[in-house]
Amino acid sequence: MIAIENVRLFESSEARTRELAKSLADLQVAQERLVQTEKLASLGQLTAGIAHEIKNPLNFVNNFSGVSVELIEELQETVGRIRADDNTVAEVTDLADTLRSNLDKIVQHGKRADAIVKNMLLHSRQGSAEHRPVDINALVEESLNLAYHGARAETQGFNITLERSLDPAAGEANVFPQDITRVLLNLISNGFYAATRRKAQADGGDGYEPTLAAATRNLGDSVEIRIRDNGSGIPPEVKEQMFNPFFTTKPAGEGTGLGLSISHDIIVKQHGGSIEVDTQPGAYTEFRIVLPRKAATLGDGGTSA
Amino acid sequence: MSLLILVVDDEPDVEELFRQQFRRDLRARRFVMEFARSGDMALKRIAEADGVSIVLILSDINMPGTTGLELLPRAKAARPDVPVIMITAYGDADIKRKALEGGAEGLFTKPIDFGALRSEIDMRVERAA
Repeated sequence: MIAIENVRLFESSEARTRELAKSLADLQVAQERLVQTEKLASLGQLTAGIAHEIKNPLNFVNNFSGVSVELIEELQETVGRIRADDNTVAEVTDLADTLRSNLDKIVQHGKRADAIVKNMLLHSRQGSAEHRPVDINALVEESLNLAYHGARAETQGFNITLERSLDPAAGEANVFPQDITRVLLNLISNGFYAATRRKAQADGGDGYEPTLAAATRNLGDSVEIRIRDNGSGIPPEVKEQMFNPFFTTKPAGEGTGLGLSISHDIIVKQHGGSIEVDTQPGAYTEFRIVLPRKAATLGDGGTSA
Repeated sequence: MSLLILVVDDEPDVEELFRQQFRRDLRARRFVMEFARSGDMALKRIAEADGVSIVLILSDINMPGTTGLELLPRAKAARPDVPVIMITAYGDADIKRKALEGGAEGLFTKPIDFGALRSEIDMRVERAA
């Protein structure tokens, strides 16, 4: 009798130990994600802080160089009216021309720096510290609209065919919605960029139509999001490095090289999901994100991480 | 009677920038520009300018002490007839909403698009002249 009772006690304590071990593991995962979220937040704060500090003096550089271009034009007009010996006029005109061309460069590079700083501010915009169950299809739809209208506002004549293949069973996942939107916006804008670039290269010659497709799929305990563009694709040497911070192939001033590295951290480290890329240079690029439904929660009880 | 445009910004170089940008108008005395380095100085100037034709108040948002968004309702209360346009380094949607809700007629982000600002000023100066 005692032996049977002992076995029962032993089994029950074993089960309890297993439960405790699982709780501990869950806690450790949650703690790790919390640390990552905090790290991302402080990286965001730091970037935003630096960008703000640079933006103020940069605004003066841009405005003063702009008005100086006008002043030089006025000077050139005035010099044109001066009656002096030919050599003096030629010398002054030459100096004013050189100054004018230097100013044009200051204006041009000032605008470049301004675009970089704006981009940094955009990428460092702090996500919400709150996670909640979110309708994944709605999130994808919202990101598509935001990115599309953003691109149209930014680039005159921008156009692309948007295809949606959203699984009605995609359902909800517990995520940090602002951060996931940031990732989707980033991938969609990259897709727009690649497709637009291929269109520019094709120069309307081969009937190429830029297209971006967004798809979702219910995978049971997780949900899949795919963003595919028929753009210029990614060469292997770029694919290897594309998730590294500050790596960019965009021309100076157009990219910070932070988009994909932050996206990777948000999906993998903050949400415990995965992000993979499938690409063929000159044909397509497809990003596949898998998010666990309880991405941002801890264990079955749903305790907040 | 001279027309007054009041520019409110804590950065001293703003005065130089505006004086250069609008040099022709200032030379031709189309209007006068005055500069206040804080929200409080601006309110003091507005109070003293009773009877003066202020065509426009241009105010920065981020200033130590009274911010531009705090200045806005007080300036509108003192002179409801004077339009206020806000200027900010960070044109996010939230700031824009607050400025428009507070009664601002417009919002410019820095670096200032002086072509667009000139149209705003011209329109008001012509109306007041």
